[in-house]
Parts: sequence; C-alpha cells; structure tokens
Amino acid sequence: MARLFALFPDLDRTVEAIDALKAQRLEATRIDVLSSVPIPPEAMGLPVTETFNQPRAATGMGVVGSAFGFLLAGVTALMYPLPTGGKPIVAMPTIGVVMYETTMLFAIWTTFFYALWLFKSGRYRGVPEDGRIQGGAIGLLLDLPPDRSRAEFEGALSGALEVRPCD
Amino acid sequence: MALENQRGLPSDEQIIHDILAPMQRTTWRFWVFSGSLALIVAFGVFCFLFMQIKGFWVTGLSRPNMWALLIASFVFWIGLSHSGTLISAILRLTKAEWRRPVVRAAEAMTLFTIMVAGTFPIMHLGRAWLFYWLLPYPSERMIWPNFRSPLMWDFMAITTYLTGSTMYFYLPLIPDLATVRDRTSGWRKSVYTALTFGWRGSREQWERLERALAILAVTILPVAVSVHTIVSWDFAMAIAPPLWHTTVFGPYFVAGAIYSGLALVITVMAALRWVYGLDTYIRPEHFDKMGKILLTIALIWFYLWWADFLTNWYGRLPDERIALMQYLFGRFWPMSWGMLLFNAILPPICLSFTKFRRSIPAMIVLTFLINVGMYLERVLILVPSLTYKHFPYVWGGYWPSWVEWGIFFGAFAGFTFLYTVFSKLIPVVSIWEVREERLYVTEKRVGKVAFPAVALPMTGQEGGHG
Repeated sequence: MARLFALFPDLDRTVEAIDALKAQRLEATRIDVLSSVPIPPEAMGLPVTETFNQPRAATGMGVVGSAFGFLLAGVTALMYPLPTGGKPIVAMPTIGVVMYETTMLFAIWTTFFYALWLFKSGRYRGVPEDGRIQGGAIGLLLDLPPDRSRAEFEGALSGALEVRPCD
Repeated sequence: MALENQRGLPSDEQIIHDILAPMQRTTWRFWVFSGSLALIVAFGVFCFLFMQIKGFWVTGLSRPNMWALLIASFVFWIGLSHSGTLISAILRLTKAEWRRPVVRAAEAMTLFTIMVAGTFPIMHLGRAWLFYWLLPYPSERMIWPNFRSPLMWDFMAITTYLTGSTMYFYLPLIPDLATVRDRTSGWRKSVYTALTFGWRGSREQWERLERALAILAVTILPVAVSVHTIVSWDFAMAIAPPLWHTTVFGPYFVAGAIYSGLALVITVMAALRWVYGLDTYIRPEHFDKMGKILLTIALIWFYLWWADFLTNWYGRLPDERIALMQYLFGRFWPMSWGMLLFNAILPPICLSFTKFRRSIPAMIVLTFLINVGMYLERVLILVPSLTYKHFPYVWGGYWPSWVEWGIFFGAFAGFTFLYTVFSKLIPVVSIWEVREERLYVTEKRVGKVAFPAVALPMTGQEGGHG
C-alpha cells in the first residue's frame, strides 16, 4: 500500500489539509495524525475510533485473575492444609482478599502490556522518527487507495513543510 | 512552532528546554549531594548486614516489643507511597487541569517510596535470605504460605500496588521518552528508542494511551486503598496488644497514608521547583490547591483519630486504659502531643489561610512537620500497645539501637538518592501534559480581570483530551 507523509507547522493548516483531502474523497480512516500532544479527533474532523478492546481485555483478564486467586488461596490451601487454632482451612472472607488483589493485578498487567502491544502494532510501522513532531509540528500519514496516485493529493497538502513518500 | 495558545505559557520549545535541562547539565553539586546520599545508604546497608550476621539482639527489640522501628518505618513508607498514585489517578479521572505539572512528581514518589517500604518486611524477617519462602511453590518442606494471614495479604497487596504504580508511572512517560529520544544520539538514543516501544504520537496511539491510563487510574485507586487497609489489618486482626483490635483502623490508616503522602508530594514539588528552577510550571497556585486537599485530609485524619481515641477511652477496658494513659500522659507524652501538634493542630490553622498555602517556604516547613508527626504516629501505634501488654510482668521498654537508626536514615537517603538519579534520567515534569494545557487553557477577560479558562468538549462531543 502506498503511503504519503506530510509535515505541517500547526494545527490549523493540518485541519485545512484534512478537509481538502476529504473533499478529494479520501476516506477519513485512511488519514492518521502524528502529534506531540493528544488532539481530539473531532477537532480535526476525524471519527473517534470505537474499536478498542482495552476495557474488555482488562475485565476478562480480571475474571481470570479472580479465578487464579481462588485457586491460590482456596484450592492450594486444601492441598497443603495448615490447621491454626481451629480455624477453617478454607475461609471465603480471607480468600476474597486474595482474589481481590489477583483480580486487580491481572487487570493492570493486561492493560499495560496490551497498550504496549497496541503501540507497536499500529499502521505507522515503518514511519521514520521525525524529531520535528516532538518539537511541535504535526504529521499526516496517508494510506493511499491502490487505484489513485500520489499526485492527486499533493495539492491538498500544499500547506505542508514537507511531503514525502513513506513506503 | 505548532500548538499555539493564548495564555502566555512558554512555547513548545521553551517547555521542552526547561524540563529537559536537569537531564542535560550536571553540576558538581549533584555529584556531592548524590555521593553523600550514597554514603548514608551504604551505612544503612552495612547496618542491615550487621543485623543479619549478628542477629536481632543488636537492635532494641526485646520482649514484649518485638515490632518497633522497622515495622513503624514500613507502615510510614507504605503510607507515603499511598498519595502519589492516588492523587494522580483522582486528578486524571476528574480531568483537573492544574494536575499537569504535579502528576509525574507524585507518581515517581509513589514508586520510590514503595520500593523503600518493601525492604522493611524483608529486613524484619530476621533471616532475610529466606524471603522467598513467602512465595507459594511446591517444595520439599511441604510448607505453604498461610493465605489466611494478613501478613500474606500484605505481600499480595504490595506486589500488586508496586506493579500497578510502576505501570501507571511508565505509560504516560512514553511520549516524553520519545521527546528525549529525538534529542539524544548514540547509545542514549538506542536506550530511549527501546523504552518508547515505537511511539510516534499517532492518533491511535494517543487514544490507546488515554484509554489505558483511564483503566489504570480506575483500577489503581481501589488497590491503593486496599494496600493500607491491609497494613492496618496486620494490627487490627491481632487480638493480643491493647488498642489494636479496632474496626476503624482500616479507614484511619488510609487517611493517615494519604495525609503523609500528600505532604511529601508537596515537599517534593517544592524541592524540584527550587533545585531545577521550574517556577514557570510548579506555581504557587499548585501549592494552594494541594494545600486545600491537605487541609481536608488533615480534618478527616483527625476525625478518625478522635473516633478511635474516644471509643477506647470511653470503653475503659483495664489494659486499654493503661496503654492509652501511657500514650497520652505517661512516658510517651512528648511523642503523642508532638504528633497532635504537628498533625491535628498546626495544619488546620495554617492551611486555612490562602497566604500560607501560597507561601512555598511555609508549606515546606509544614509538610515536613506533618511527616515528622506521622512518623511519630506510626511509632505510637506500635510501641505503647506492645510495651503495656495485658500482663504487667511482661511490660517492657524500647529504644532503637544505632543499627536501627542507621537503617532509618539509610531509608530516607535511599529515597532521596533514587529521586535524584531519576531526575537525571527522566523528565521530572510531564512535558506532553504541560504542552496539552496550552491547547485547552486560555484566558477569559471579565471586565478588567483576566481569569484562566479551560476549554472542555461540548456535550455529545466527549472523547478527547485527558
């Protein structure tokens, strides 16, 4: 897939370019913005991504963590019984404390590692690091449709500091 | 160049320059200071090793005071760790705009204090090299950890909190590490590149980061509460010593932890501002707002202390009454009244005045005194109750030995050392969050006065900035 990278000096010129690209019938899903601060997609006229599974992944692994806590504090206690002062070997209130911690631990691990994995797996892979973006400039990364040429979009990117192919 | 604002905050370049400056220049003062800290830490390590080789008789511990300074230090440091992540998570979730220069310092504080705190239970084990016996794994000993014990819950809770705090600290650090990556070369660039996990600042990455931060903030808050509640259960679930078996201990410990941690966050903010000249970012308004939160927590803490005290005093159980009278009017009176002065009397009076809250030297002194008071409070929870146990023939006394003092000071030096080194490797203020402020905070003129105003998404257009 052909890709085009454009670097803009500010947000206003970036938004103008996005509008121009959309006017040229480039789908919004083919446009990605690289910036040094989070900019709401609505501010750029782009749709909010709704496809993330992060909360579901955290919840699911939290349930797994809960089961792990039960196995650890409940089932293994039966395997290695330790009688103390006539207390029950398996007591649900005390298992509940352990289950609570393992639930949270699994949810936290999942959130963190899933986020790192998502960072790595984005479509910007292969895009060279450009220090100017961390310096405040804004980059646009375009996935061009296979049936259209770069030249068609270069006019829309006229406000850019630099436009270069990015394959 | 790009994201201009109307409020007169420094430019993007200026923000980056100011915040990265501590990482780029190192003076002789840094080496002298960190070298001195390293020496004190080394002495603390020597004391620990000495204690391991000789045994616990080199400490001041003796029947009935088998828990004292090491455990008090553990409770104190765990308490300090409480507020950093907690305050950061609350401010992020409530989208408090003023949080931006504060959160990194608070999160780092949690990380380093909990690292220090985690060493104390291991030291207190006596045979520290056998700490791995706490881990549940099948072995020839046929011994399994007792998951019904609050001490085991402590192990679980601290592990969860340390893990969660580290991750909560690291995720929002990634964009700033990318900024450092783009301004370094050679091996440093390789290191920072590896640490950024391919961060480019794409829209998807920002959305995923903000979603992950929101989930972590929601999960870390109850974990933070659970950690100190479980620490309190170490005492409350032991029925032996007087004054411990009380249901209010959970919330009382949590309030105390937030109190001391918040005080340390303010001290750290003042230190960073002074040492690295971050006056533009850490401003009197931040101390003012943190001071108001501190005032609220001071009142909550005192309310819970009073509820605990009154119940014990009114009950007049003989052994509890003896311990309580010794606590307040016996041999511990200088500590208990000092604690009340520093934690219950001075803070509400001082923090009620805006002028005081906005005075940074005054806030440094007060927050330092609050933590002195909170340390005394930790000692007072332990020592009077154990000294005056149920039977007079086991009553004893306790004074820390030089070994315990060495470990005590080593811990403080260790925390300061970790923070000092951290400030040379990582931006101490969140660059991207301060820059984001420039997008949303502006000035609105009403008559002759300009007020800071925060732009928020319209209803139905949520889902933007964090």
